Amino acid sequence: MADYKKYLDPEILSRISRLELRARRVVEGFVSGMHRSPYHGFSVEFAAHREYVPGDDIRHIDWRLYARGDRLYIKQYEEETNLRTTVLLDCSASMLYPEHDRRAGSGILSRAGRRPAWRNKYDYAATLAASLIYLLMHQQDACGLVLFDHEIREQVPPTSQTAQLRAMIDLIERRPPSGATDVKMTLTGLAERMRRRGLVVLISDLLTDPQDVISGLQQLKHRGQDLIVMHVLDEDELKFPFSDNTLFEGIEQPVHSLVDPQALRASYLEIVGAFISRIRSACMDHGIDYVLLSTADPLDAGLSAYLARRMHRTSRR
Amino acid sequence: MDSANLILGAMITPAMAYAGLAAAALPVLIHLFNRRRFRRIRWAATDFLLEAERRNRRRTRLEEMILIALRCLAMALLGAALARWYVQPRSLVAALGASARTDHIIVLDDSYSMSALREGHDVAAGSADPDASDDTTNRIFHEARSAARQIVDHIRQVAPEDAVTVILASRPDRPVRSVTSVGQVPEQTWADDINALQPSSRAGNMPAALEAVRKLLDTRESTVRAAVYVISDFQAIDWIPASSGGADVNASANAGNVPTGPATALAGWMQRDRSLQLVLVDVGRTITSNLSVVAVRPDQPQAVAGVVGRYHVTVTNYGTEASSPREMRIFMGDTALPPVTVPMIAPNASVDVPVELAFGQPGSQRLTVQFEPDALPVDNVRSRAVAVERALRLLIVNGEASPDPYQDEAFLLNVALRPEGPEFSGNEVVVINEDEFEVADLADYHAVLLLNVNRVTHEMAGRLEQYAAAGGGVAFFLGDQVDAAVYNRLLYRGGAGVLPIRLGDQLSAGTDQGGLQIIPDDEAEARGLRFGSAAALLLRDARVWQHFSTTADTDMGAQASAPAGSEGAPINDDAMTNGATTLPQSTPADRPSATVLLRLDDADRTPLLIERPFGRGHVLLFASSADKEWNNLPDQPVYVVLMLELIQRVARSSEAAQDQLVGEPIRLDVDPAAYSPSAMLRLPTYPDTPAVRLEVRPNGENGQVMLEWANADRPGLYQFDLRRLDGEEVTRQVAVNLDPREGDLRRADRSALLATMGNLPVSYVTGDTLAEQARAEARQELWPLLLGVLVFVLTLEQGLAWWFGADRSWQRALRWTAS
Repeated sequence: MADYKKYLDPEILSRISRLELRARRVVEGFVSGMHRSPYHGFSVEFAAHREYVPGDDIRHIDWRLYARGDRLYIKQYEEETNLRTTVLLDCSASMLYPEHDRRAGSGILSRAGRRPAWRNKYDYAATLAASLIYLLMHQQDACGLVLFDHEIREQVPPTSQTAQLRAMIDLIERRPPSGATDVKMTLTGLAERMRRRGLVVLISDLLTDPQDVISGLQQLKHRGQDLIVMHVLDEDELKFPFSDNTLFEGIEQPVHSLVDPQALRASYLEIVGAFISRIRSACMDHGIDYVLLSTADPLDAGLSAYLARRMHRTSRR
Repeated sequence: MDSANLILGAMITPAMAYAGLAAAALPVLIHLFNRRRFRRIRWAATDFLLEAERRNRRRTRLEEMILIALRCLAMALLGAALARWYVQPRSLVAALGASARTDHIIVLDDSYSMSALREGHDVAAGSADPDASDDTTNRIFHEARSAARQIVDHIRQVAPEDAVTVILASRPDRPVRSVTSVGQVPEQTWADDINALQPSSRAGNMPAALEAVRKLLDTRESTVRAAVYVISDFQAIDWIPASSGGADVNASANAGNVPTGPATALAGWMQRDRSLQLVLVDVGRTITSNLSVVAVRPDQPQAVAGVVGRYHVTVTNYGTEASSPREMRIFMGDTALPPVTVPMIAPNASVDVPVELAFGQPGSQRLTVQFEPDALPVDNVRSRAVAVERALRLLIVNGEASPDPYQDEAFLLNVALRPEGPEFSGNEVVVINEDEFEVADLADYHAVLLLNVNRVTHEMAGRLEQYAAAGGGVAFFLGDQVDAAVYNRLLYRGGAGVLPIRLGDQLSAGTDQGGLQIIPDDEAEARGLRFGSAAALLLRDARVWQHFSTTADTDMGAQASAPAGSEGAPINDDAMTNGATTLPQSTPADRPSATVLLRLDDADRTPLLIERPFGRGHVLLFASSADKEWNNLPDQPVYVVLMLELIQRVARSSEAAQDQLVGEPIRLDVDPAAYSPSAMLRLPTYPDTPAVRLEVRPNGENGQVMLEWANADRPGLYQFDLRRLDGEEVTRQVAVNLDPREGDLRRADRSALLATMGNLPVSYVTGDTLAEQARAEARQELWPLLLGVLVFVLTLEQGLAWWFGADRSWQRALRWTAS
């Protein structure tokens, strides 16, 4: 039995529970809720007028407007619907970083006074995913889970049944990260399968070809999905704090390199920075929310900050 | 030494350089070792890492190589600095073709003090005379040779193109070897030349030596850089001007910049905008004890075979401690006499040791005195050439002959001069009358005594003057036949004649008064009257009742125009009258060079016995009679001794009794009328060296002719074999001795020595440190430069290491975080 409390940190949940995760775009939903529906049906909220064309439902003709203009227009209504969210959790082997001991004296430059709270990125990402799932279910949105590495390993269709939360967590727990990362394959596969619009939250370190990531995201976007990319990286991957001679062995790739980290730090950071910038720019260009999360930062702070910003943006529309 | 070595130099401690080179490998080894120590990390962002590595691979390797190279260089620099790497700038300059030639002149002090024994080679009592051996390795001069070789070798190594001249201080005008390029002469040749040098027998004359160096440099107009090396024992007497004559050897230093002492000559050369370096190489040692025989002189001017003569040997203690009593050996020729004990001598004091001996045979003899060897053996021996006469031949001109011996003027004197007894008096006396004087050959006699002679002619006066001037002795004894006016006019001639003093009136003290007592002059003893201090006692009973007064000439010029007949006027026999001319009162005989030995005890202290040098001879006047007519002196026991002494004082000195010092030319006057114009000279080294034929030449000083030998450069007896015109062979010997002053071995104080150099650039080194100091001065050590470079390299390494390892990523991180 998975210790689902492991991924549902009360502190985190308490911080985000007051927040809402709204679809930024109007998506379809099957539970009446707070999300806007792209369908202009008989919802209570008037949206716009459209000139009558033969075949329209005459019940929606706005007679008052006809009386003014001697022309026929029908009313269109926005329909609030439930959000369908799919959380894509990267469970490739790279998410297992770090595998080594972070205790003091291990040759890694660490921030003073900070003790890493997460064993690895997967812990962090899994907690993040669980937290989001909890939030969505809490706001009666349907939420599904996809575990992937170079392909989709596990999938739980979106559901708003809270009982599925434990099943998902159990799934997270039971599926240790392994394998290489192929985000494009996953996203492309999902894009083909997802008929209905919804929200897709990608939680991954994206340590693969950025173009593949962008391509995959583009495909989802073209399908009308609302995307959020939560880029989870370890502090080490962001800061490269190593000083001693280190033999780096690839987790996903069978490579190793004995280097002087201090000699490479500047270039490494430049490369990482460029990678992140590229992903971010691509997301921005396609209207995809991008959040960079470091495992050294408190998850609740990062997540709640993001959710607050998103709430602010979506409420203005 | 090839050019590479000249440029690269050498190292004082090469082992450290090797250690440095070995240590230079340490950074590489450490680097390799560190590469084997690493952490293992399983890494996710492999692509980024690989890309970063790809981008930095070349730069990283370059940085590693730079840092490793700097660290290796630092180790090597440390090793080189500790190895005290040096270069020789002059050789570097020469190797690069620039001109930096220096004219090196090495002056070896070869004065005889340099033959003092070296430290640790002192002669034990009873040991053999080191001078008997040709081995000089136990002498200070041996160290001087060693120093000279070291200097030449050093110059050959560092500046083979430089000129080198080696000279001896005793003969600076004849260099041992002089070359314009020291490297042209093989090293062994230099060594052979120097090893063959021996100390001379001359005293030091450093002023002359350095003056010669100065002249040598003057002749080399192209020389602008000179180095003069003086290798010496630096005796105070040679170097400190105030030290001669026993003065304080460490006289006050020269407070100014003007050089004093021997180095003065070099200062003038420097003033011509040339550069000079004077190097004083001290090879001497402090010797606390040295006895030196400084003089051997006779008490009497003649030596007569069979007659005991007294000699005085002066011994000086030049040491700083009192000497112990020791025996002095005496040799007459090769015959050893019983040794004489020399008492303890205080430091810097001298003693006179009397020695009495009688030469058995006439002719040229040698007297040698000698001590046991000490630190300076050569000055422990001294010789004297003695011309021993068979007898002193005396001619008595009897002015009043009588068959009655007690009336005869000359009888008593004759007896006194040849007293009967087993001991030979040494005198042969010939008595003639006045009229026989004309035919007498005065040259056969050592002295001529005129007793109460009346008949004085112009010719006689002339012959006597000529005889005395040539060295003969003339003694006048007066009496009642003496015509004072004639004597004054012909013999005194206003002081120009042979009579030592002017005669005054004939005076009578009166027999009833007992006559006048004879007393010695106050200075009689100082003037060599043998029994001067006892003369008063010995003459106590002697009385003079008749004598001539005497007077000194106070105005020699007044006689120039004296009227005829008076003294000083041209001799005119017609003017010879009764001599009743009134003469000035007699005054104490204070005429220059005339000395009074005895006086009369009257109010005027009338001179009685007066002597005076005349030419090369002596003249003497006894103002009373030789017999008992005017005095009772012949009755006194002292009469014989007095007459014998007077004869010794006035008689001709033994011929060729010459003693001189090493280095002085020997000049022997020869009478061309008597001797052949050529002679053979036997040197002290005869028969090892053959005799030398000499020809007479003019003596510019006295108009005579002489035999001259200018190369008396070693002590010993120089024997001249002459031949008289009648065929008789005559031998004359000259003893050449060391200059005793050189035996003063006290050394010049270093500070006082350097003070005499004024502003001359001077270096002072000792012989045992010469090599090291020469190397040290010739080389320029690079350790300060290397340490400076080392510090720079270490700073550079640290700076580059920091720069290479600097977290430049934070700037980039800021950029993409903000983007």
